[in-house]
Amino acid sequence: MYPHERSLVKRLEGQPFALLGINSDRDREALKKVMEKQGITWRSFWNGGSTGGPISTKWDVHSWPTIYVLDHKGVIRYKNVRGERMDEAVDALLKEIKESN
Amino acid sequence: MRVKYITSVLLIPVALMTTHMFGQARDTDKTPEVQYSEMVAEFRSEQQQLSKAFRETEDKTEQVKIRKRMTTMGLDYSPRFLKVATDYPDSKAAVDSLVWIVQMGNRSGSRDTGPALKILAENHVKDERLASLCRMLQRTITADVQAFLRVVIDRSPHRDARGMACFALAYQMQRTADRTPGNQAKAEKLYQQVVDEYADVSYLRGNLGDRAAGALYATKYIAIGKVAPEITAEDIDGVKFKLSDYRGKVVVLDFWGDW
Repeated sequence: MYPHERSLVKRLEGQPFALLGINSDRDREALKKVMEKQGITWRSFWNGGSTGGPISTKWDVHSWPTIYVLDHKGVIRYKNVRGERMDEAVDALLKEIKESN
Repeated sequence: MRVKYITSVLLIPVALMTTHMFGQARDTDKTPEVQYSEMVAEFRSEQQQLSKAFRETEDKTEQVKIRKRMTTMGLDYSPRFLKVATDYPDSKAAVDSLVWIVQMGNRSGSRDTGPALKILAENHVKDERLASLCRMLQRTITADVQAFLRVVIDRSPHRDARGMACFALAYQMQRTADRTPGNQAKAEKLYQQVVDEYADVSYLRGNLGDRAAGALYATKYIAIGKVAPEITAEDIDGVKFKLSDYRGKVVVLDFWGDW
């Protein structure tokens, strides 16, 4: 996961795009070290230190990772797209922004 | 005198055939329960031998071979368990054998899973062990499993089994809603049924009611085509921020953990 996400973030630098995490790890300090080591530069919401935290509970997420792709209006457009399919989904939505301008 | 002679000549091969056929076809000396325990023991012993061989070899090709055998060996045992269940359909061992097949098939995709579920639905729907079986089958999305869950919902005398089947079927309808029109509505109806009738049935660390209510909220508000609900929380460094700060951008939301 990390290498693909790193390259996606790098490829879309400067474009209207953001990768946001919702992290359910237990230990914040340990997580910071992992993020540094893995080159995870994107921002994450803190799910309260548990997979049963408030954000994943409200979103009814029970398997990890779970992916949602939102368009520039905040509408959920894709769920659980990974790898190339994630890139294609993001590219299609970026194209929509260009076309609406 | 002559008639008697013919009869005895005819009888000998018949007697031999009978012994031969039934002697092989079923272990008449052993009860189905004993046969079941022996098969389980044999399976475990093979598993243990394989793990030992895996630990003791450093040959990568050999390790790959052993690992492959370990993931597929259940498929060789399944037909034997199915035979005990069909030879002694009313025994306790029949249910144990069928549950064994389904559990094993869940991991390695046995072709005996379908027939096993069919026999369970037809002959053992009152068994209380079906509750845990339904929970196990929640994420195995097949037509066989869905048919089985429907029978449990309609005919099990145990509330926890009916509740679990109802929840598992709702989950499967929700997961297939994108490709099968109509399943979204079915999922919502089934989740509502769980909330109304089986809310207090325990599930993992909580109960079915909370899980179904959460899923109902999600099917209504967190679905493709809906505006994502706001998230307001701290980031890893303790700085508060909002999902709507990113309006105007394409956003990939990744529920993740480093595990």
